[in-house]
Amino acid sequence: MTLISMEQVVKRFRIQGGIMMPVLDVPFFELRQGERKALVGPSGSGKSTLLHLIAGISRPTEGSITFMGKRMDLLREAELDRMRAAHIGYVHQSFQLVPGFTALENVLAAASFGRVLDKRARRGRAAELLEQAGLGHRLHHRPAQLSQGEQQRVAIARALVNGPELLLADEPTASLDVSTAAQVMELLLAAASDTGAALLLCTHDPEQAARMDSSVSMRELSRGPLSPAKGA
Amino acid sequence: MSLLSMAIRNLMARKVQTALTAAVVLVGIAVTLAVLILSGGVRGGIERASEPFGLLIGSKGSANQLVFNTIFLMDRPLDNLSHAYYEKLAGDDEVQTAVPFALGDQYRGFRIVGTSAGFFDLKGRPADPPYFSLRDGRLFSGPFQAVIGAEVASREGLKVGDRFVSEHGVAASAEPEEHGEHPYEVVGILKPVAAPSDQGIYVSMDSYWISHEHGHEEEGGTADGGQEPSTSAKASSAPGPAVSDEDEAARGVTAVLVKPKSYIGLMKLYQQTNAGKEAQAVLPGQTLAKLFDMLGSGEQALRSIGYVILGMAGLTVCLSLYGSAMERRRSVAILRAIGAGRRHVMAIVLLESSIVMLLGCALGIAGAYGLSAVLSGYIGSRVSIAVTVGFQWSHLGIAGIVLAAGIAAGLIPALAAYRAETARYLAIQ
Repeated sequence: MTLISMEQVVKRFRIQGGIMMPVLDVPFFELRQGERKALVGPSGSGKSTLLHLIAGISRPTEGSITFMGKRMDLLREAELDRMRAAHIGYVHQSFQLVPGFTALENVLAAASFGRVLDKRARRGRAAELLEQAGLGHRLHHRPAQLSQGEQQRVAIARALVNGPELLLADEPTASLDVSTAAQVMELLLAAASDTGAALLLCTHDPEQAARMDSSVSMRELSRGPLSPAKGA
Repeated sequence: MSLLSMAIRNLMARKVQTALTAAVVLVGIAVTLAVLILSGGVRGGIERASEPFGLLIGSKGSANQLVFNTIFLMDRPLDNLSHAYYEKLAGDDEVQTAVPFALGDQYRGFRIVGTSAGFFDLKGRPADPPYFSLRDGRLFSGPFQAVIGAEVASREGLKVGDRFVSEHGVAASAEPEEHGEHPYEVVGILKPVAAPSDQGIYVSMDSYWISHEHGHEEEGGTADGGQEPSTSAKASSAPGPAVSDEDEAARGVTAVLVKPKSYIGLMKLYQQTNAGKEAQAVLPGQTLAKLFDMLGSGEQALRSIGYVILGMAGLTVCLSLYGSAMERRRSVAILRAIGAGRRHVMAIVLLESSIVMLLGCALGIAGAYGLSAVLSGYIGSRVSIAVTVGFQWSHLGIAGIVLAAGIAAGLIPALAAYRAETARYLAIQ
């Protein structure tokens, strides 16, 4: 069953002089429920932009994005925020933890915005996920007090806390050493498999891509170079 | 995890910046409110100190000087009014009581006031109890008996039964001219009234005159060393033997504290006295109002300084909040990426600025009252005026305005957070 489908999606950014610079043009993309897919491409190929569009962090300039049967491109912003909070877990390359929050609070914050779990259950679930990620002894440490591997494990726990249908991972191991990267990758795959969530992984690493159900390169996905357009 | 706890965690993560911002607000509020509290307290203290004195009548000259002489026991005394004038005043149909008030000597800087027992019956309002009351001993009943103010007793360690020698003149001197032949005996100590009167030494008019007649005698005068002269029934002093014309001239008073029988009588007496050539009548309230007007410009300057500090505090808060908003764009983007709505992040930032402002204002109010309490004690010890540090809703109103302005300033970073482009700031490492 289709979880995400994108049709004729174009994303342009306004640059100096009011020129709209195209950064992404995807005629069609689809991800099924529980599917694990790798998105491969060099830096600047638009992988992160694609993930932002799917997560509703930014909106497409043209085209349609359907997630769980809802047209994301037509949702009001507050509805997009709710969809993202409750149904999408996002793991970034640079962890993106709130610096002032402890590991537990970073996970709890996502649980609070997601509102999937009962208020009283949130803390227990957050602590449980962090313990599963091997951070039971680090619950009350701030990101600056954690190693990079630990920070990424907190980010994975945060992405999982609301039991999302979709996990988006944007080069989650790119900032980590080989050994830590392997551990984080195992954790992410195990989490996707345990929860049945679909996983869309952006990566440079062919080995990581090979562990997915399927792989697609940005070159295949994206239409050829677009011309800049004047105005909005 | 509530938005409030997220805001508190964010503030805790920037402890130094938070503390400095709150401290700037604290100082601004504390200084501004302390100026207002103290100026109100000083006015109140002066007004209370002047309450029992009624209409002041003294010789022609400065009205301020007459008020300073009688209420504050300060400044050089005006020329004496003649005893005959005092007697005439005491016999006036419009006058209920006329209390003599004579300055001339001092003891270690504390003014000696020649007066009558009627001085101790003075009241602020007719229904009030007497303004002065005894803590120890009794009132004077003869020459060279003194009733001393509470501060004189505490500062000089004088007790009932102790004796002291007065010095000529109204200011302490390195080589005092002492009236050693007539030591005073302390017969009573007054309860403190938190007014300059606490610094007075009160003796009978005859004590005062004998001292001065003795002075005249030494200078070639012919004083007879007699007692207080007779007065009319309304003059509040004990009758004494008749005196010669020369003594009569010397036996003047610095002022007369007059309680008229009615308001009409007060106005009549006021106008008649001021129309005459011999004396002036002064309503302390009017003179103090002029004094307050004069002080008002200084007070206004201090208040303006307070407002400038508040303004600077406001700018610092704006700068600090704006700076922190710029620093936090990534944090805001992270919160948005995990599902926080624009209103959530705006609320968190607004809560942060509100907490800082609330903290600064609350500590500022506490600081203002603390500072006022310390300074009022100091001012009180210098001028013997009870500077009351009273709570006023208007003070909270000022703090409320600052709080509202600070929260409004917090809208700038809050709106910046509201409008932040998540995708853009997530890319910042």
